[in-house]
Amino acid sequence: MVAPALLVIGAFSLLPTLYGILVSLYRVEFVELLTFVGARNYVDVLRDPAFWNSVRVSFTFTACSVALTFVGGFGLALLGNQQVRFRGAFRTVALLPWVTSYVVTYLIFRWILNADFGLLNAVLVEGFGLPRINWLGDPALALAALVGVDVWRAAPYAMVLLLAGLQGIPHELYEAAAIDGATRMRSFFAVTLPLMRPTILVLVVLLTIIDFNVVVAMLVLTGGGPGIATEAMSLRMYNEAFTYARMGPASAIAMIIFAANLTLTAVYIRLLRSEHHS
Amino acid sequence: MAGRPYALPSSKRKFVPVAQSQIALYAAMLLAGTLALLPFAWAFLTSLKPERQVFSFPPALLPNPATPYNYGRAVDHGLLLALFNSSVISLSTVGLVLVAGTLAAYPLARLRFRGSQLVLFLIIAPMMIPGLVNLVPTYIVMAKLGLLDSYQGLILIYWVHSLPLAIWVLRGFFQTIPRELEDAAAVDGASVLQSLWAIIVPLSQPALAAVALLVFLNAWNEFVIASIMTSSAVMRTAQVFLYLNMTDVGVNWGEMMASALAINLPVLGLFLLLQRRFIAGLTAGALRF
Repeated sequence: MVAPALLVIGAFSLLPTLYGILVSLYRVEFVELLTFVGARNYVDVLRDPAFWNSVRVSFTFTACSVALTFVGGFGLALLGNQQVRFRGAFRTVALLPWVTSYVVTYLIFRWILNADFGLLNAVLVEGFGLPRINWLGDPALALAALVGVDVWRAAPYAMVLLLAGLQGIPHELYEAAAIDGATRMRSFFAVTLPLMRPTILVLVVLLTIIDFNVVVAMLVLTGGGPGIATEAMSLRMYNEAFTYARMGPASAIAMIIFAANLTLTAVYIRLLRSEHHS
Repeated sequence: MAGRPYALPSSKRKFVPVAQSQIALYAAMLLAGTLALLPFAWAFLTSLKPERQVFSFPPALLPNPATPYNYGRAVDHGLLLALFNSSVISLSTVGLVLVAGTLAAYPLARLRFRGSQLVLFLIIAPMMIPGLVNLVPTYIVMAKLGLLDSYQGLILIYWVHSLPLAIWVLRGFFQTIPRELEDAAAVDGASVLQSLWAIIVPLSQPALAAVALLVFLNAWNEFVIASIMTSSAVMRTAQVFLYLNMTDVGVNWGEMMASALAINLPVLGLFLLLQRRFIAGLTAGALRF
């Protein structure tokens, strides 16, 4: 009964990963592995300044996006956890961005951020008398826009996971803290945060992996531009493989992304574990 | 509660700022809700505007006159075929995942056979591998199997990608069902498959529904794999259709917003109808580590 699932997962998920390592060591023409070139693809990738630009973009985007998504999601979760009216409606509305696809989301925001006819510039110019801003034409602003939209999209997801964690905290602990004279702020740092640590760990690891591997955000909102200012490693890999048909170097980048993912996950787990013990 | 003599200070402090903090709370909820809805509302208003109104600055808030013209244009450009393609692929994926996932999860939940731990590890290991890593090798394998630009190719990949999570969630749920019912059925001469079908599946409807929704959502919304697997216009999924329309020269934003909202409608509708199951699926999906 397990055999069919195991077979297809093995053939089309586990073996391709191993095959990917092989591909990264070959000179590839379209889909044919021609000659074994050893580390050549990796050397070529590492010598390319555009690759190091993409590393910088990936880490900046991921760090900003994970941090802000976490803060925003925590705020939403604290709101959604209050015993007030409209709580159900609030949770429903807050989750709509998460069920919306990447392409739809970034397309709508590309329109909102449009320099000539976009809603955001209309509000800035008409509402506040500020000059028009070319959001997607400036390297720093384009990256900031990517982060902003990503937070809009992912904060609801953080909310769902954090709400599950919040609801697992026994109410007696807050009562005990209140009896001891703790303020709300104090009991947030002394009760909520420590007990949420496992949930936070899972969330931060998940968000990091999602953000590090995102392709569609850059593809739809900025196309990696202006120039290559917002070309993350993931988009670079996608373009190498499917725009320029350079499967060898693309596979090398994929393996580097894989290694970076594993490293980041390991680092997080160590950090949060050691804090827990101290 | 009643027997606690020290409860007084806290309730005293709570009592005074309640009204103010309630107002602040509702204000914060309203703000967050507005931020979540505003982009959809603006997209909807844009989709109903005639072309000259879309390209005007400052933009008019309401369409005047409101016209379904942009939706008609989207249909002319192939929206319905793209929606059909996505429906076929997503629904087939859900069906295959439920069947293969249930069949695999049941023995993994109930039996301890030689190597069962290894089998479980091999099945859930792909969840640790980011999808990007497999992109190039999957493309090469699909090209060699002649499955590029076909329903079968995309369904196969989505099926394989969704199975680990489905098996993990279903196995966890099956383990919470008491064994007594199956034991009784076995005494009455039921085979393993019979008791799976007659006992486990009906009892597992909430978990099956959560898995089905999550798999449908992922398949419907997936873009990267669909974009590399489909090359001909007739095979495009809804997300690929939307992206390729955007990159055409001279974007008509009214039509783009109409397409985007139409493509988002199925998942939005399912979510609004079956919200609880969705959230159960999301949480189960995340707590996989």
